[in-house]
Amino acid sequence: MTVRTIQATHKDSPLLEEARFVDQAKSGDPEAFARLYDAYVERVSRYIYFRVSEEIDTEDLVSQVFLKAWENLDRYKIGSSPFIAWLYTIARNLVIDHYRTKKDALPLEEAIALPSEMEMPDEEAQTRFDLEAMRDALQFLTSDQQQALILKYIAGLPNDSIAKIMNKQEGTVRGLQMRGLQTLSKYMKEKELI
Amino acid sequence: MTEFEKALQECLRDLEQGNSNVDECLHRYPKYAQQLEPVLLTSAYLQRGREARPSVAFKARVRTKLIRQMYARPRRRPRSNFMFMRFAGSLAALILALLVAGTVYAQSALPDNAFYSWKLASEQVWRSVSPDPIGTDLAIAERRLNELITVSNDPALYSQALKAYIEVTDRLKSETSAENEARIFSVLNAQSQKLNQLDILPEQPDQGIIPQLDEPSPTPTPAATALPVLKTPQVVPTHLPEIIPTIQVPAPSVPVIQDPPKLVPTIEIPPIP
Repeated sequence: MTVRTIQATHKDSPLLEEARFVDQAKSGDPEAFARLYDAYVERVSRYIYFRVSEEIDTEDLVSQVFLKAWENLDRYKIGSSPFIAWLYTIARNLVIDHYRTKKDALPLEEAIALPSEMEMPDEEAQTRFDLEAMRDALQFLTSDQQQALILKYIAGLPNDSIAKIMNKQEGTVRGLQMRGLQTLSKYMKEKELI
Repeated sequence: MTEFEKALQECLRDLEQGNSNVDECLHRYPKYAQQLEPVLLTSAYLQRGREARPSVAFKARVRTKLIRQMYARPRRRPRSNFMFMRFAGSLAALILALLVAGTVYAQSALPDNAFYSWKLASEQVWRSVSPDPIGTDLAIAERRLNELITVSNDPALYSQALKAYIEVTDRLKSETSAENEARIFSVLNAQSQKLNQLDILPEQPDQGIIPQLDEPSPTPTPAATALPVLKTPQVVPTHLPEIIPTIQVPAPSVPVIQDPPKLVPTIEIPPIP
């Protein structure tokens, strides 16, 4: 699979009856919240994987995101924004806090399985290499550029949602994405990744 | 925004929406193809990040940990906002109903009633929101008058009611507008006549119960000229009691000559009918 053939058609499916599960979870039902976890754990884990350096305890951060969401569910207004956007906001803040405190953690490779079990072993190795290279490359960007690109291309969110999560104007987000892409492209060209 | 940035933005949007691919974009902007290519390839490359997935073991571990923590920190059960709002709404409605009922009931309260101060308070509110404060004061004066009439048989309440009535009339008398003066005078005059007819005049007419406006109305009405007449005791000379002095002479039982006692006339005044 070459880069040129990739289209933006890969999207995570939304959770049906999300509002009902959120409502039940708000009433204190852990099982309903577990359904939300099942639906969104991959996206949250992916975001954290690309946002942090390899010395971070991803498992701890992912569980912290969901635990914070559980504890603060009253603050989430059903219908105001997608639940996943709210989770990304929590994840973003936790990553920022994490960088402030810098704790020792497990290597990411132990947590993230790359790629999906459906792929062939040689493809698996290539994909793993590509994703790790991508994560390394993202570390060369500013924090804002990283977030703007990860939320756009990896999380697949529209710019208006990204602007809300980052608490910035949509135009600012577009600018961050363009500058980030230009910086990243230079790095990737040097490394012959593209 | 430069031309290159415009071309880049357009290509990125087309790639995102699936309307075009990298080669088509480069073909569309040959002038910038060299600059555009690595950036567009990078954006496409980044989308491969969606292939990263946590392992099954990872998800299971985090799930177990999360569920354990959720049970350790249970959310407060549906002490929902709805229930709270319903309770608060009911309480507010009850308070409002009591307030309205109390105010209505207080309107018939007399000075000896516990609700009388509530009545006075509600009148203050009435005055403050009324578009016609003079009219309101005149209505309040009418109320005080009725109270005065009702309690006229009870001396204690009578003086209290009288004081309240005088307060209102004093307030009205302080009104300086000529137009209002005439209006006030006519009402208070009628009230004064009513008091006269019912024979429950205040004990001391000079207390000022009858309105004494400083300046008469410039265009006095016939009613305004009819000044109230107070009842005064009629003293007729023929009703004067006769004063008959009585001289008491001591009996001359002792031959000793003594100075005669001084004779002091006593005047007996019969009770006034």
